[in-house]
Amino acid sequence: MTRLSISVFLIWTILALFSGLLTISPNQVDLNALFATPFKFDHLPLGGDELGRSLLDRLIAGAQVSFFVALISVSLSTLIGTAIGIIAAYFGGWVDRLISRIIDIFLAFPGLLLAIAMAGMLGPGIDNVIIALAMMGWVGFARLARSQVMSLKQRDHVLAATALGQPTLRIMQRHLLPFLAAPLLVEASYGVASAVIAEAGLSFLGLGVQPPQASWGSMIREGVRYLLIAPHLVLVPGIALSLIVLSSNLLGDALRDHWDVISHSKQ
Amino acid sequence: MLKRLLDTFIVLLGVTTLVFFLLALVPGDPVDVMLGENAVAADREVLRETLGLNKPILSRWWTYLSQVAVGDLGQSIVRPQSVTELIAQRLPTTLQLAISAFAIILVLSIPLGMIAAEYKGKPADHFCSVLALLGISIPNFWLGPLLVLLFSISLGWLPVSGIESPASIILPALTLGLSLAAVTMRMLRSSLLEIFHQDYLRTARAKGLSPNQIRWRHAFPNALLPVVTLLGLQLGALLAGTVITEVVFALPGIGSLLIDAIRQRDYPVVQGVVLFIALSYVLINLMTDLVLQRIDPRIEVDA
Repeated sequence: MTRLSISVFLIWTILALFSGLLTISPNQVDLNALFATPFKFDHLPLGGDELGRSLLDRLIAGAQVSFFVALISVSLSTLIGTAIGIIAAYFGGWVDRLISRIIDIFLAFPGLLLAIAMAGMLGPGIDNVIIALAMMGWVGFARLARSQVMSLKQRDHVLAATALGQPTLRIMQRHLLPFLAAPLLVEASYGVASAVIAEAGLSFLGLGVQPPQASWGSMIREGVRYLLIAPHLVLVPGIALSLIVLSSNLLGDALRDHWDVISHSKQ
Repeated sequence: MLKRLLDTFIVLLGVTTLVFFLLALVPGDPVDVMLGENAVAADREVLRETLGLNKPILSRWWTYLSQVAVGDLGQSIVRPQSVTELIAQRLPTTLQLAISAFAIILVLSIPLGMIAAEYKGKPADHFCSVLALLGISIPNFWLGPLLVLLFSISLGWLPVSGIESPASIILPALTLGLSLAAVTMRMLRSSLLEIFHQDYLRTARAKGLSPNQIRWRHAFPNALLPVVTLLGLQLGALLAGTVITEVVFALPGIGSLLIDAIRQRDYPVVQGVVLFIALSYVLINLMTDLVLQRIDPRIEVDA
């Protein structure tokens, strides 16, 4: 199962990184291929949509969108969240109380609510989706880093480094961060799953990428209208989406078991 | 207890402040965005006055807080109603959906979680794990169309969308509830498995109690505690989860109100709905904690 999910991940990465080398035309309208079923035409292996555009090409274009949105938003969330979490736990006192309150406030927005609100206010577009997802995602990393550093802080090597008078930043970099790497990677891999769902969800609601650009979410949104006559418009992007999400979750589980870390997102 | 209430109050204050500052995210002048570039100067002034945009930000923030405190969420700029009226109008549909989804979560997760824990490592457990994994990996905006395809189009059992008959709530409720049911089931399973290994259960077995007595009197009630916490969180999360589900099935609840308001740039409504959902979520969580303390006196609400 782990190998399978790594393969799915690799295919996704390669498609996203090298789609420039493939000659795909996701916005090419072909009136002969309206609602073409898969394999009906040789040049449309996954069929055509309501404008006869190649579903395979749109799927690849969508893979690129979801890959970069997930990569950038999860990286941003990890950076911001980890920094804030370490600061809260390391300094303690009123700094910790303040940061914990801010985290509580962000946690008061269940699910996609904050991302929907922010993307709605900022207006559509990939960059706004990334901002909205990072604003939603940093909290999980901050909580994780905070709780980890809380216990790490009492370990002998950190106490020794503090007693030796090492600068704070160096202690954080050399003595705290290396121990955080494993749990953060596990969290990031679950984070990819939720970022992919969230990007597709926002695009489904019309708050993400704008037409004619393809995203798996907007493909499902447009396809739902033709569910009766051409269910493959919804099935194709949905299967891709679920495969990626399933793989990220399985990969997270595998990493968690491998490093034996306790994860927050899977209670 | 007092500390918990104080914390909740601070969070409510913070949430309201955050929602207030959401308006600052609108690129450019919100009045331009709402009315368009070609609006008459007089109209712009009226809107600016209504939204209070000509006052300094701190005084606007204070006004917003004091209005929210008395349940005034402002005025829609597209419809002739107040935001509170709009929410009150749409809320019954959303509640109906959320409560049906909650029922589905309970009905599915508790028996399946118990079966999975009881038959750990056996085919039944594996089957439940696969179901749970699928439930977590299929987002609801895809699950909805899939269920429609299966039950409405292929089998013809249930209506496609709308709110004409009670049966039309079944598919939306399944769409909303299945993935949360999967999470709850996993939680109950691991919670039960942990308890199976505890000393007091060994004592119970040593006393010669029947497996059924052990299961129902000793293991199940204790395993339920973390599940009740999770269910409380989910009850609140359902209010946010209905947004996508309502859009998928074209249900006129507060979720579709939110999305319509975003499309129409009716920012007071956007802020009002977001605030309403977040505040309900916080208050439901507070109530869950209090209920939990009643069930199990070992739990300290302030801890």
